[in-house]
Amino acid sequence: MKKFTILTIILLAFIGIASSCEKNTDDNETGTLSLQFQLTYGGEPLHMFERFNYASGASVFIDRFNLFISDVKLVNSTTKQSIKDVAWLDFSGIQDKTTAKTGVRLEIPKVPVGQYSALEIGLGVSPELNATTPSNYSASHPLANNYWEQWNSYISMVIEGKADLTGGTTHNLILTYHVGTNDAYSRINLEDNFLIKSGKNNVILLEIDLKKILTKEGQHLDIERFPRDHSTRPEVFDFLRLNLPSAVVLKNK
Amino acid sequence: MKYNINILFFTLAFLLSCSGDELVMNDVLKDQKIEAAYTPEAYQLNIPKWLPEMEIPADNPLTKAGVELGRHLFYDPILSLDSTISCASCHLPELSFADPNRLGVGIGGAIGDRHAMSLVNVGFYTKGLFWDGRVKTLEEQALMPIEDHREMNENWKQVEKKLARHPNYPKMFREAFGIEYPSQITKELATKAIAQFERTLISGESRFDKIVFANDLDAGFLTDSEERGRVLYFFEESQVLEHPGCSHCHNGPLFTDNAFRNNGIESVNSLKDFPDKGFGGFTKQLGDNGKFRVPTLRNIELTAPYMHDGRFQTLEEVLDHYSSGGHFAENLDANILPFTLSARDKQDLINFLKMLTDTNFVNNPDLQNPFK
Ligand code: HEC
Ligand code: HEC
Repeated sequence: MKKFTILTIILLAFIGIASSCEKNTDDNETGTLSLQFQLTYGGEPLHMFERFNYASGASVFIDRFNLFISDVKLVNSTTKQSIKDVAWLDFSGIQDKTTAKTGVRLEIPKVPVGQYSALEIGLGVSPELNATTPSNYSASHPLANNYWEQWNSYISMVIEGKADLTGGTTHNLILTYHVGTNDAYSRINLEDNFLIKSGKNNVILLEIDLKKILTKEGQHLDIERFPRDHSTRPEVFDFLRLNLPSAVVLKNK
Repeated sequence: MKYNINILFFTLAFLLSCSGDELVMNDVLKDQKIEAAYTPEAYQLNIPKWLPEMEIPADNPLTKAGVELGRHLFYDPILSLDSTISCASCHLPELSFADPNRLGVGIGGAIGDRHAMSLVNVGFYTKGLFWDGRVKTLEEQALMPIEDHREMNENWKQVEKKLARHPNYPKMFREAFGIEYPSQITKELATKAIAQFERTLISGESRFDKIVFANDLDAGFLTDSEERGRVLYFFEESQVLEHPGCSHCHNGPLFTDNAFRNNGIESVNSLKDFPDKGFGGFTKQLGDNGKFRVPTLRNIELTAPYMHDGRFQTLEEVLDHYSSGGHFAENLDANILPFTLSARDKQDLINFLKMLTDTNFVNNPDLQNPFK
């Protein structure tokens, strides 16, 4: 018994020293990175309930925009550094011009310092994580919610809002687009020089342009014919999921 | 006149000194070292594996003595001004800890402005408690009913004194938190204990759980009607625009997405006009007015009346509301859309919802009134 206690003490002391060492190196060799996502329409910051002119001539506003991102990596010639497994970007609280400029900020602690040449982001829930269910997570984890049983999949992107097809001020056509399943997952590779320093002042500004999700090369989603879709009609599902990757860009690039 | 005031003054002074003395004497008399052992034993939560993990604050781990103390406090009217109201007066165990009254009825019949929701699985809600999300933790929440004049209308200083003078509580507080003197009983410890008890209010053994999650063959199978109800609840037929869509919001194993939404029960001219601003009253954002937390539908058969103001008496009325598409507002949730609901659909949906009733939970002896 005594032997056991002494052993335990030594072990605990060792763990203590080891973890304190780790802490030291941590502070010097990692930093906190903030990915700051701004939602825009045609490059202009967009907030919930803000009217914009849609390609069809309709007046539209959105009141909910959510996007999962997953398996986020920083890349350089020697490593691919995983920095975030999954995050849920929720813009529903962004309801005025000031917060629209700031957007949604995702803080990622403990990113190894260094020079990186690209940021890789999975848009949607990676198939590996999409095979899990809310039961696998603690209650505040993003994957504890936002699941759609019918698809056995998370809802990777939600666009909800209302439209007045005549371009007026009576926005009584409800729009809902829920995009999910593994087919909705894509990866983007954003190249630039990213220097991560120790401390908290590392920020990468990104933009999600809703206009690029809803319109492409002279075509636009026909919101009159398809005001609502739940990843069932290819005309909607394919259009949205295939447009998404080019809608997420580094800000000012 | 002067004479009268003098008498009044003296009488008052006399009265004040009397009651003051009494308190002091009592405090001195009772504040002796508590004779009891402090040997805390961890309380193992029994969470079915299909429910999420519960997040428990590091400074309030569950212990057997803590949960037991919390249960006593939850059922004890000592926490109210005139010893008539306990937490359980509005959160009835046999009704899944909800209130059969439309609005909370507190001390002397005072009426609150919201319906007391079920406390089932309350330990899992991490995005803000109450219908409007204004409180973060159960510890913080439990402070509030005591001093709310329409609920228990007592003040915590007084409650602390009553507990310290009580024949059993000092011992129970020592066993739960290791205090040495009755005077060390604080509202922080009392609310920690209540929160510990509330985290044990776990329900995951309804017929739905047994059949769908646990694959328990003894539980039988869904009846045809339940199965039709399940499909109406969870599935959208691919090319049809209209559908009940309940699981857009009441989803996951907790049957809620924990989000704040406007489900269209209120008819208003503009976002400024909601009689109860709900989430917007807390966030101060106009677009959040009239949004309320999506409540769980577990044990929904037991928790009428329904909605934040208890406006609907029956599930039939609730379904009639949803199939109508609700009242339009700029922030009406986009998942609230009119749909046709035949008499059979209605019955099927209700039969499905009744599958979420967990009698093991409401009859669990560990959750009942310890004073009975
Ligand atoms: C007079 C009736 C009444 C009494 C007594 C009362 N409550 Fe409540 N309780 C309510 C009402 C009404 C609400 C909803 C209020 C709101 O959302 O603003 C509520 C909400 C709650 C919630 C939030 C649940 C959730 O899911 O967000 C908790 C937890 C709770 N009560 C615990 C307690 C405890 C613990 C006590 C005793 C200390 C207590 N209540 C006493 C009426 C009461
Ligand atoms: C847009 C999201 C949404 C959808 C879709 C939805 N609900 Fe709700 N539900 C809510 C919200 C929010 C509340 C609380 C509203 C309030 O109290 O003001 C609620 C409340 C309820 C309540 C009352 C619960 C209680 O404890 O008082 C029941 C029952 C209910 N919903 C059943 C359903 C059913 C059945 C469906 C499908 C026909 C459905 N809901 C669809 C968001 C939704």
